[in-house]
Amino acid sequence: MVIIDAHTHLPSKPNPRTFFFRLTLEELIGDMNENGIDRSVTMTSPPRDTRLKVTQKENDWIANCIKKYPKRLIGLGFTNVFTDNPPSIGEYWSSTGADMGAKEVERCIKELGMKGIKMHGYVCPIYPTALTKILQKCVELKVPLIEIHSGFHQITSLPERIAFIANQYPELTFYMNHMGGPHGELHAISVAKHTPNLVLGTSACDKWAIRYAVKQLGAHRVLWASDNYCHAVSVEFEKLRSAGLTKQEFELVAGENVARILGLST
Amino acid sequence: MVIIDAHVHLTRNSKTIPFIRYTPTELLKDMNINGIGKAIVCPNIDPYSTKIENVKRENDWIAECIKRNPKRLIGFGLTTPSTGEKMGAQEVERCIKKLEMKGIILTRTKILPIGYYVDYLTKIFEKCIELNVPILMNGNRPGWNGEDITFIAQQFPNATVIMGSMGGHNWEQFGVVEIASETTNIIFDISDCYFNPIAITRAIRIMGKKNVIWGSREPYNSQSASLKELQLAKLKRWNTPLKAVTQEEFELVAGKNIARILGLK
Repeated sequence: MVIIDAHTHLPSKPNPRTFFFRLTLEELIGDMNENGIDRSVTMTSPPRDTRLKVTQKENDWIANCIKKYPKRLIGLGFTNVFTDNPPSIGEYWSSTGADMGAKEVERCIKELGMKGIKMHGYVCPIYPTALTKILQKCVELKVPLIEIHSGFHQITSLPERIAFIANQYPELTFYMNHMGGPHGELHAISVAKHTPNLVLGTSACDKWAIRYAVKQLGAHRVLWASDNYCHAVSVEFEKLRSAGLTKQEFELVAGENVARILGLST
Repeated sequence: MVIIDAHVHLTRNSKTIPFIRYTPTELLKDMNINGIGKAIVCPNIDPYSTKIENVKRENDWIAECIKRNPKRLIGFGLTTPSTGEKMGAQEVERCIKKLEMKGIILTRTKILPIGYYVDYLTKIFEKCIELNVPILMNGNRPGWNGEDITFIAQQFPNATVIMGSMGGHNWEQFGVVEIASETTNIIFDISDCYFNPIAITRAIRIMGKKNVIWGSREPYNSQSASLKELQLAKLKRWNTPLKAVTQEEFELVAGKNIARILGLK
């Protein structure tokens, strides 16, 4: 069986705030070796600076990391509705910013060899109208996976919102990591029932939610993820191990699903 | 040392989450696998059906579970202000005196925030103070989070309030610990540490090593994963200037503190 961690962060300059792990490229590989993880999907952490050049630099860094470990790492490109300057009130997103976001999608997929796109409600306006150009570009390029951060801590990350967007793009596979959790898991599972192109990720969600999601949606729609950088990979893997899944369900969630979605050879 | 899991819900069935079921047999099996000596067990009741007869029935069941496993299980009785202040306090007395519980879990109620119930809590808290038992409040929902629990604890400074689930989730847990540390009668329960071992280390440094207890919140979260997270806090590898958790601190958090609070031998 193959174990693939569907969500890790590898920023070029780890956040100096004291509650994030210092996770260098070598530390990520070390964590994977220590915990028997074959491959990891990795991306930068959401740049607070929403200028295009800042995110481009981060995506370039991820592409370089993947070049160093092509058999261990899989990249997701970060995109946003970019700004040339910090946005003012009433200019939360612009058409130009969305164009830049769509172009960065193209660059990530075509030039940098990324397998998917990541957006985060902390810095990106997760509004259907704001994301139209970006998601249309994803449809055009047949991007295999669109990850959007979820959680109950902010409106732009609510499961219902992500499901609403996913429903408008049935050609794409959307990946709601954290399953709306903690404490939004029931919402996430509930909306995912009505959104067949939505898969749920397990990092930071409650243990019960993993099993409940598998029972409600089928094991093929749940991806194990650690969110290494914010969370400890060994703890997140133990959570999956203790979730009471059958062997077949475990294997799908632990790696086969993400391999299938991204078209990886296992 | 004896490791005590300070936060477990035993349940036969739940209407909210239909498949959640955690019997004493299942708990004891997990405890044996994970090297846990004792566990504090609370009822699990749908907050939308907190009728007094349901509350009593679940407390009676927990008492039966403890009678069958007196060396491994310690009971916390459930009460709620939504049954009325008087009945809530009477159930505290019944749980402690008749059912031999060691503490009380105050369950959240419907969708109203706990602040709404302040006026209905006086008798419940006075009874807990009189009987010298701690009150566990789960801090994991809007209106029932760390700030709300701290507010309640401040209204009843003679009560011992256990703030469950680190008073929130993920990033909130970092802010809540600072708020809770300003109140002397709060014990910080690190079950549901959603973030990482640094959050546990930080909680111990801010709250003080004697004011933090470990729990798993099984069956909602994983006992083995939760214990692993506490054990990881002993490592020095994390990106933090905070001193790693020492063996002495680990032992306090993993069992000695709750044993002291409950007066266990």
